[in-house]
Amino acid sequence: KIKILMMEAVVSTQSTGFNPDFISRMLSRLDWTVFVQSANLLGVGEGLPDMLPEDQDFDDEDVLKKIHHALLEVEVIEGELECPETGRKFPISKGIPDLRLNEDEK
Amino acid sequence: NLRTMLVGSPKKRFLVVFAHVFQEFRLPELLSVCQLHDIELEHDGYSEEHPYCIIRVADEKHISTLLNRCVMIQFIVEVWEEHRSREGLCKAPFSNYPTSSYSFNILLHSFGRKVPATEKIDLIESMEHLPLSGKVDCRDPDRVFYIVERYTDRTAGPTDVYFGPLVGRGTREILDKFSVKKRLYIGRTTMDAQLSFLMANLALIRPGCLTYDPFLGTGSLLIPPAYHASYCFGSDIDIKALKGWGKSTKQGEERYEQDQNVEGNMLSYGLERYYLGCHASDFSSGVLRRVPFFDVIVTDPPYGIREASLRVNKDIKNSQYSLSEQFLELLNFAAATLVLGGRLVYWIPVIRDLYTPASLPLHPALTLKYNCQQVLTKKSARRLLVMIKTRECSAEDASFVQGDNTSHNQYREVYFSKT
Repeated sequence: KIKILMMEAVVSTQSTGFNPDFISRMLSRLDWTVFVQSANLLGVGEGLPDMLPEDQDFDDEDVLKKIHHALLEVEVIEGELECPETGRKFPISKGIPDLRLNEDEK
Repeated sequence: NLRTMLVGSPKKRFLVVFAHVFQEFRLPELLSVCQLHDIELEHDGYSEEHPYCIIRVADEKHISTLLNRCVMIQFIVEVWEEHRSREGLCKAPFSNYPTSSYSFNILLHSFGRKVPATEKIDLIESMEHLPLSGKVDCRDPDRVFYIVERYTDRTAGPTDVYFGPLVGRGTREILDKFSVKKRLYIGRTTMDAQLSFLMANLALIRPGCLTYDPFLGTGSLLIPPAYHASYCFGSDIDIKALKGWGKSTKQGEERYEQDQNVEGNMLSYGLERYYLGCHASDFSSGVLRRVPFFDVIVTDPPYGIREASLRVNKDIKNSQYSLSEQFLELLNFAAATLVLGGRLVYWIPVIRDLYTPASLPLHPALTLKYNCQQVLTKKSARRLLVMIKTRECSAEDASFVQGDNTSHNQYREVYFSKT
């Protein structure tokens, strides 16, 4: 449906307990390309592999920590999301994106 | 039969004393918590008519687990004696139990008749072979014992009489700490603590699972998951509810303060590390990718009463998006976005006269596990439905209602009607 590219204005980083099991389990559920793209836009993409490892038991802790940081610890507080297809902008305010569509956009 | 088997077994038997509310939810919660912790449990004598149930578990440590996690259990007693009359208990030889010199207190719990204190004292004094030689201490005894009596006829003697040491009480601290009366941010749709923790148990929420609520409101359904170390997030069409704008529904408050919002609650409980955030969206617009993602979806969709089923254009009256479509959409969404084995736990309102099991929404990829009714008024109730994703979705799969959906589809109309 809508693919999102991110443009950040204000970003916050909160330290959260690292849970390697959770991160490993989430890997297969993520759209990896979009995730890495978003992480790069936020400046936390360094060290993330371009492609998700095939290995189900991926446990390189350094990389998992970087994924954990990008996934759970970095948050856009104020900013905008832009749909790459339509250019439609969605505001983010106080950390809450407003993704509601107008009636004519549905 | 099971009773004979249990009596003859060398393993210990325990008497669970449930809270006598939400009767349809109690056994499902107990069985769900057992599944969550891989506890093999046998139960006997459970009924919605009274609060007692005999159980047998492989390991006594499981009893603490049950007491810590179940919100419907008041306390659990180890069964030393079980009789069909008081006389039976009074004459019980207690030959298997060594005499204990600990200080003790004996309490009585009854159902179906209130037993006066003097009668309780007489009863205890009539127990001929009680193996307790220590002092009676009402304030801080070393051990607490229970006599439990069930009456089916208030004018006759009890039909079931149990005696044994108290193993433990259910943790009221959690329900007290998370009581909505004390919560920083609440609204009209906030779910009360006992029910929200019950939902988390029926959803088998465990540490590290990913939970989503697509009708987040004030965020009350994500607090128990966060408490159980589940990473959670949600969405709602009402951005004011998420941000905490507008008039407060709390007594004595005018408008919500800066910190009164979904995130504020998480911060106040120290659970913010598990709260992944929220966004505003119309659930039916399909903002999220339809791929397996969540372990659990817990939610309380609008019934069309308090917070009206909103669409962005706020055109409720002419909206073709009926309540029924909302639930069908929820099942389609859950079937697509739950991982295999994941659970959807949600409430559906019913007009009691119109309800039949065939009026519930179904989906080929979801299996209905539990269906528990909470009566609200003479006319209305709501049902908590627990569904498990038992296979992957294919493109042709769609939710459906086998029978007549008016018991929930017409909920708003019937609720407000004068008849």
